[in-house]
This record gives sequence, structure tokens and C-alpha cells, in this order.
Amino acid sequence: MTMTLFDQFLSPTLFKMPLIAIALVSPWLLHHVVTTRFSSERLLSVKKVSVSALTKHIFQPLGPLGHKWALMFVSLFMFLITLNVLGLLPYTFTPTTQLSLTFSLALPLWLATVLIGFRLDPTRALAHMLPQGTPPLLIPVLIIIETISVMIRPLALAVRLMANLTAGHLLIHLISTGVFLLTSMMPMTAILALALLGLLTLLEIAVAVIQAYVFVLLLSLYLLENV
Amino acid sequence: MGGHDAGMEHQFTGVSRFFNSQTYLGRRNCVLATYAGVAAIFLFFKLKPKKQPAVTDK
Repeated sequence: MTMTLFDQFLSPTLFKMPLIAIALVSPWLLHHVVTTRFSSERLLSVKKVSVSALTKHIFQPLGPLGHKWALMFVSLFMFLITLNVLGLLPYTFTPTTQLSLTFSLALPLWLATVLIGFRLDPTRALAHMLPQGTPPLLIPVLIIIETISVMIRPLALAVRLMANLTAGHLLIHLISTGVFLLTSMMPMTAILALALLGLLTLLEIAVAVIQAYVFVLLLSLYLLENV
Repeated sequence: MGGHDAGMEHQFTGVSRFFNSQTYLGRRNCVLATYAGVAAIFLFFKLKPKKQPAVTDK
């Protein structure tokens, strides 16, 4: 069977059984169980410090109503960052390259922020569709533009995460294939390509962390508008 | 009610009291009016009877 570059993104199956469930559960199996001991081990302490720093950074602008989302956002961030980083290992499947997963995370959470806004203060929620100080002639145009921009947010969130990871994996695959083929033909070029591959891998680790952070940060900003 | 546009209501008179881009109420009403207008245009074209082509003797 001829392999294409996009075969790495196919949802894995074993005897027709989908293995994506195992891929989705694996982050939670790798994280440490919360300990009741006063002093925990080093890795758990590092995790606690980073989680508390993230929580403070994201929830500082939000009021008490928004703080209820802390557990949801922090666990979503840990889930996404673990999925993204695990997917950089060779021969692993990255579930966040599937639009079905990213969209199924983005749509309900975005919708929840919108519905909370309408429930708490429908006047303010509707007023957000028109920026303050708009000239009268531009009012209908801007309302339509703002409505479209609000409606497109879940798609943008999902596609941003999916496309960044897919592009990164594809580049790694292409360059590693190039290194493999060039090794016998042009060794010096292969070494340069290998150096490039190393730098790209570092970049992809950064992208994996940043995209998880951006996903959660944008959701917190959408919540900030409505809470 | 308090808010960042509290106290601005007095500078608007007439229709602009309810339709403006400064107060929450004015912005809300502009948004609702725009949505109603878009819905009306959509319904107009949806419910408009289609012209039947004329039947000619051949």
C-alpha cells in the first residue's frame, strides 16, 4: 500500500477498533495522582507551580463568576498540552490534529460563554455586537461583521489548533524523509537538513505548548466578555 | 443602572435616546433592529411568489 504524507493523521484502528480512545486517555494516565502528603516530589511541585502561575495569569482579569471555570480551563490546558507534546514522539498519534476533537472542545465551551452572557445580562451581551462610538452610517455593517466574527470563533479556535499541529507534523515528516534520502546521496546536505530538523523539533515543542495556552486564553477572553 | 455608560442617557433626545452607539440600551436596540431588518429582507425574498413563465401556443 502506497503511503502518503497524510497517512500519519489517520485515526488509528486495530482490527477495526478505534484506538483514539486510548490516545485520549493516555495523558491522564501519565499525570501524577494528587498526593495527600505535605511535601510532594519534585515533578509534582513543578507541576503545581506552573498550574498555579497559569491560573493566576488567566483568572486575574475575571471576576468571581469566572473563577468557577478555573478547574475546566486548567484541566483543558493540561489535557491539550499533554496531547500535543506526546504527539511529537515518533510513531505516536496526535488527537489534536483531528478537527473533530478540536471542534468538539471549542464549540461547547464557546457556546457556554455566549449563553452565560445572555443569561446574566442579555442587554450587555447584545450590546457587544456594536462597538461603542460607531458612526451611525456604519452601524448595520459593523453589527453584521461583529456577529459573523462571534459566530466564527469556535471554528477559528478549532482550526487554529488543528492546523498548527498538522503543519508542524507534516514539516517534520517531510524534512526527516529528506534527511533519510539525502544521507546516501549528499551527506553534507543531509547534515544541514538534520540540523534544521533539530531546530524545527524545538519549534514544534514550543508550538505545542503555545497552542494549548492560546486555546485556553482565548476561551477565557470570550468568557471575560460575557461575565 | 450603573455601568460605564451611566449618566449618558440625558445627552440623547428623541429617537437617538433609544438608538445610538454609546449606551448599552441604544446599542442593544440597534443590534435588534439590524437583526429584524435582515430577517425581514430574508423573509421577503423567501415568500415572494415566483413568476410563472408564460404559456405560449406552439
